[in-house]
Amino acid sequence: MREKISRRGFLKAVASGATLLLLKGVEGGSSLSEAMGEKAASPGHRFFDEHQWKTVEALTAQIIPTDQYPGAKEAGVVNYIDIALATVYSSQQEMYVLGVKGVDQSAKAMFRKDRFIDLKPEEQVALIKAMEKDEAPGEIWKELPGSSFLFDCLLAHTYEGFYGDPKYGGNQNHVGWALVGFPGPSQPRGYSPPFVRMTEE
Amino acid sequence: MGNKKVDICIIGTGAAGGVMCKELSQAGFEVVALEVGPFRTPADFENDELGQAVRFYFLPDPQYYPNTLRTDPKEKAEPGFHVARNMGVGGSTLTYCALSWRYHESDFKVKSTDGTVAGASIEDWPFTYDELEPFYEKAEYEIGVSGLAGANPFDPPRKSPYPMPPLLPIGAGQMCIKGAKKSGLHPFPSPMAINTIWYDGRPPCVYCGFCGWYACMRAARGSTLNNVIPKALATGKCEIRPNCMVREIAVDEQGRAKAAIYLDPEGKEQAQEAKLFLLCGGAVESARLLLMSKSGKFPQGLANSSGLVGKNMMYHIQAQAEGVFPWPVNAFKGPFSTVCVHDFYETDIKRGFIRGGTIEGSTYRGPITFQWRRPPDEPLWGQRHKDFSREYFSHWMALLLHGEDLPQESSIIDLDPEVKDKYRLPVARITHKYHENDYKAANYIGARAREIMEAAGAIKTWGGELEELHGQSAHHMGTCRMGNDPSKSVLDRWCRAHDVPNLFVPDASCFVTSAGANPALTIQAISFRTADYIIKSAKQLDL
Repeated sequence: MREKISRRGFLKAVASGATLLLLKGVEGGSSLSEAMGEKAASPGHRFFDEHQWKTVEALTAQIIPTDQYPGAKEAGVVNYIDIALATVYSSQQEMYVLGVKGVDQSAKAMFRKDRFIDLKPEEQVALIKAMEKDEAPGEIWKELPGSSFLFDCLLAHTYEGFYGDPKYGGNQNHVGWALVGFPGPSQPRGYSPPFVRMTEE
Repeated sequence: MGNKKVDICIIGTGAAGGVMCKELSQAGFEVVALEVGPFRTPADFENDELGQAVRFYFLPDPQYYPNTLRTDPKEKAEPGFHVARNMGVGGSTLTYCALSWRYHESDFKVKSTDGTVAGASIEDWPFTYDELEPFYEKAEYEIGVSGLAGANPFDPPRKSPYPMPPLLPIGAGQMCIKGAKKSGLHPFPSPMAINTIWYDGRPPCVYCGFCGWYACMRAARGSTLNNVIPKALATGKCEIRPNCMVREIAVDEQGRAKAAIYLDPEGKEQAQEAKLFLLCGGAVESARLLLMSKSGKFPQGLANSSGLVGKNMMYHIQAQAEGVFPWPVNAFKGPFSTVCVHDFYETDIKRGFIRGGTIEGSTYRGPITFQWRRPPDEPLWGQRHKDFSREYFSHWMALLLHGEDLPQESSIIDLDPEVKDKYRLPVARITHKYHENDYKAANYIGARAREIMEAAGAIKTWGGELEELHGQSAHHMGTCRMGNDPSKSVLDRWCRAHDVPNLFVPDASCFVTSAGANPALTIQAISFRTADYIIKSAKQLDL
């Protein structure tokens, strides 16, 4: 229980900006074109290679799944993360590179399959739950502050890519905003109160 | 090193520094203001949650400007993002929520009113509310505050109405009015530095929803960037130098402040001499600068013969009660707060703690930050999480509490022995632990906030406990407290350093206690008062 409380505390801190240390990158430096140089592994990708792209896409698709409404996959969350890692989040590139290897190792240890993307949906969910509890198996996690570290960043980045402004490469066709009924930027028109019309007055 | 000596050098251009620039340049003094951040304009701002409220473009990047924090003086302090302060002309008023309070009469005499509490270093302020009242009024008119005089039965006495009528209640404000009235409380329109009519050449607010944490795109909010600083620049007497980091206030043989030594935008060291120096960098940075300014005359840091520079640091206690309603509340529309409750502000010893705080009707959340706002038993990912977002994003609201954090001599800003910022200067190390009274007050008032939402018809409420944010609330106060006794305080009643006759610190560093409400207007009233003193005493100050 104690563990749970401190974890909530951490997530609260994330919500209020405490993880700037994790989330912020190089001040002014590392432009998109620089990052797109030699490292670009696949056409259309700025940072991820094909396997990393597919793995991160599958992970985000479990965080915001697709039902009758679009999910992380349709919103292009992996595209958002790819651009962010090539630019402002460049300090977190290594974490993702190791993290993709980590989830593959965990897939092997937990389900005897070589790659996370080969797992059945319920197996993927079980593996992410293990990451959330920092219990995902695999040697590679020792090179990170733990599997929950990747999980926490992945959660934050998935939210950003699904609900952030489309100009950052996610929330494509405004599917994230449409899901929750958020109209996006409202200047210069704004809104006119009152904002609550109660049905039971 | 070719800077011409000026009358007055101001360090920092936020709530205090902006006011000082205007008042002193309009009085005819030659002023140079050094600001660590850039000079932006409203054209640089956007309705962009990811950029402004998640990546925090305006806050210091902790990779380059970290602070370190520990709760126990025996521990090693960990670097990270521990101080929410905006860097740039306008300072934290650039993105503040704009709640503009007059502190209550009792706030200036907590020791006389409530006595002392074990572990806390409570004192009375060296002046009363009555003495500050004319400057509160001046601040309300110069900054541009909207509100309704007489609507808050707990308000201290005032001579004039607010210069503008109050904002209309947003969704969360409507819920707060309904719930608070049903609970026998006294909701009233929030006093906000947000225009509701054309005022001072700036347009009214359009309730766009991108408010606290966001810089206002239309200058409807009374950031010092929009109201006082343009007037200072118009005098032709005030020069603002952005992207300049002051690392030391150098002194002469008599122990008077002589020059601000700073790193210019190219990183080159420069000196700016002046007859008078005003530190307006906020309670963390002003104390840090004094501590970095060690010299033969001041081996413990400038103005620190009492040893109290950096001590008695306070944050406000903060708790957020959240709830969801059967109908849309649309918390993403409108400014940060439009309705407040002050029924739990003054001491009621039956509650088991002293002092109290303000319940603020609503805190804005865009769809990204909303994803973290969940009852403790709800998951943070997967189908259920998505369903919750879809159903409740527009049906959610929060009531935020800001309350009094009791001063403790053990709450300290000092220089970190190891961690340096991008200028290779030692960063401010924070040692801060909440007092038992803080937990009791936050949890009690947080529970009342949940009751307000329940009375208003909430389906479910949660939260309302003290959030141990430490410096992540932008309210930092009290590192150079005022007082009449030079052995027990750093500044005199005019915010002048007891030790250094030509050095003033009119920002929140001077606060003796923190009061139970946002500090901005009080910082500004104190700045207007100090400016008035400097202008009237120009001769004695050799200006």
